[in-house]
Amino acid sequence: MMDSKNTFGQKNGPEPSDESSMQPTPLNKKLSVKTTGFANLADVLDYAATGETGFNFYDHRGELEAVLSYRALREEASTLARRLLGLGLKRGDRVGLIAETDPMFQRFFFACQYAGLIPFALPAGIQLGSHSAYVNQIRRMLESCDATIAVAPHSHADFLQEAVTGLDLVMSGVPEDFDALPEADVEFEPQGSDDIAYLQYTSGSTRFPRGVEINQVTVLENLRAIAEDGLKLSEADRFVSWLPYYHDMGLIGFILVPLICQLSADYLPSRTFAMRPRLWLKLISDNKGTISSSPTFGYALCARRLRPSDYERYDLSSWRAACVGAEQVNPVPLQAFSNALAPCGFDPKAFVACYGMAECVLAVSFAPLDFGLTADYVDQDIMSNTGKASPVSKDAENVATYVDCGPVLPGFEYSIRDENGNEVAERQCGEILLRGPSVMSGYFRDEEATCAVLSDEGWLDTGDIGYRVGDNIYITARSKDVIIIKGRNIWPNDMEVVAQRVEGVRLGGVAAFSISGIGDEELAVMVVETKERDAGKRNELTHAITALMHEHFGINVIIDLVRPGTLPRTSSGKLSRFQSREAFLDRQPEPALRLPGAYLRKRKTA
Amino acid sequence: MNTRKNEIERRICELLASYLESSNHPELEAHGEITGDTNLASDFTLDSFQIMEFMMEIEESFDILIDVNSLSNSHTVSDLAEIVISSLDDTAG
Repeated sequence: MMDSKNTFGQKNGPEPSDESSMQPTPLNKKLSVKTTGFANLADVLDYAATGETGFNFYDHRGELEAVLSYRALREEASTLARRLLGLGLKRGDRVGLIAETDPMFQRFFFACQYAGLIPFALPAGIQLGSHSAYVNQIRRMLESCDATIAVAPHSHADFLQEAVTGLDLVMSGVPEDFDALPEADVEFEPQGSDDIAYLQYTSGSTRFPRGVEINQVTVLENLRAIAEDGLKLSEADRFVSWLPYYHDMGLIGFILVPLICQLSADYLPSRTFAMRPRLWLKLISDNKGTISSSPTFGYALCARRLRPSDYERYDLSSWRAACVGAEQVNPVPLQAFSNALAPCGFDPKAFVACYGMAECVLAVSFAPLDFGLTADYVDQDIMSNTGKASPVSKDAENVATYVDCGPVLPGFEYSIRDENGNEVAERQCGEILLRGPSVMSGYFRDEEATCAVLSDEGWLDTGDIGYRVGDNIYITARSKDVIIIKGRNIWPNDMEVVAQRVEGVRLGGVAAFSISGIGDEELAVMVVETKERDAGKRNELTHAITALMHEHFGINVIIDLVRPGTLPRTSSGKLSRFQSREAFLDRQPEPALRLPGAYLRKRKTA
Repeated sequence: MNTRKNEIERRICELLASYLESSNHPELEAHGEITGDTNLASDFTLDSFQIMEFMMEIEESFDILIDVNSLSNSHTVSDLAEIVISSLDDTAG
């Protein structure tokens, strides 16, 4: 399988005879796992390439479609790096990659590592009717970091071409276009520890894309900490993932972490998971995967699609770390998942709650391994009113449940502070600040945004709210504004801007926020001011906004039409999302919609 | 409109109705009949994962493979019928 032709992930790929003989890369039986002593990511790949492990790509039927060993990846990426350098690119130029689950992504990502270029992942997920919204999103990201190169898999070639029209790129195209370039006769200049390893866009923000800037030394430190301290990886581990490469959990957690430990990883396209979530279990079962992660919703989706015949089919006993992160960890659907899959050998102790963010590469904390989820039951009213996590019995009437996300990884310092910047007591909620060697250097070319979150002393204001018990962290609310739906971060500002395009919507008269619905699932709400009184026209307005939200964000939004002047504004005339939310909840007949973090959110936006 | 497309649209409408029923969508009754003009994204509150789930039911029912990227230009049941037709033709060819 070292023949490079077999590793390109072409859909019509290799000869049938090759396909039948294709085997996934094995467990690491050759190299001793080494996670330190690397100077940069290229160095990490160079070492892994001396073994037999690598990445394996499964198709929409769950069958092995392409194999990319680390050895082949090193060959192909360094050849490609020479071709890119032949274009006369400068060190540090940005390279945008539409991050489909395809070997193309790894090839270009590592070509950049050898060539001294900065790769960044562009989203690949396309929604119903989203053509123009998607193209604009790609264009804005390319523009915002002044990219010189953009690459798309064949499936996305037309979208990319449309997105780059009028942009001043050196080159854009599909992988074959780049493979046809001549190789420059150059020696690679190794990347220094302070060179930028990659940019990670933090959200699908359509209007203000922000690229988290991660240096070589920064990413290496977090990879090491995840491998050694968080997951305690060994030669016996194997990764399985359906997470998109354009999310930090997919890119860092399931490409770079296995690589730095010289372990094999198996991938299922995210869309395949969305359509056939049981293939995830099949892959873990077939390949004896040990590490696989998802936001809560992925486990819930999977549990919903199970069939009785599945119980005999899957053996999930190898799955030792089922990490749960990206959005708030919700124990109820996880419990349902583990109950349903207990007959397949799934061990609920495999659940590992994690906390992290792209601004810290990926991971900040892991709950202890082999423990499962540890829930903290606290009084919801006290929490809402004072931000104090006051323990109550599990069966108490007004109970809010939070999950122990463990202590921060060694190397991180954390501080939970009140609005005046003072450290709060144990079990008191506050803003979480972090400092340490895997905190980003800033947002790429965005000093204002960087200064807003990074202090001179190196403290990162995460925007997340939580409390501690001992040194274990419990998250009660993710970033003050961001709405997290099914693991995706959506910025209310983006939703508001889009909604204002609809005729009849008052400019500046839109507020988006989230509330917690049934089972603590986050629901997006949009309050819209309009003068329209005619019932039919109001209905049309609601429809038009709903359609736009789908097209741009792929989510359901509860639309609430109100009279102009209803939305609360601050003294400076700025719309207050928090107060809009409070007012919305007050209008609802059902007070149970109130979110436990209300007190804290109030404090943050006040 | 030709009868083949009519027939495919009708099947998609049925599939959508039974999908909405199984996923317990109260909007179904409020919205009345599902037709070719029914907009999948705005007439029901299906999120992107539910839409993919529904696409899988269409794939299984017609025994086709849908090019998911083609969905970016689709809004209605009628648009979906076009995609199904072109997938059926691809499979046959």
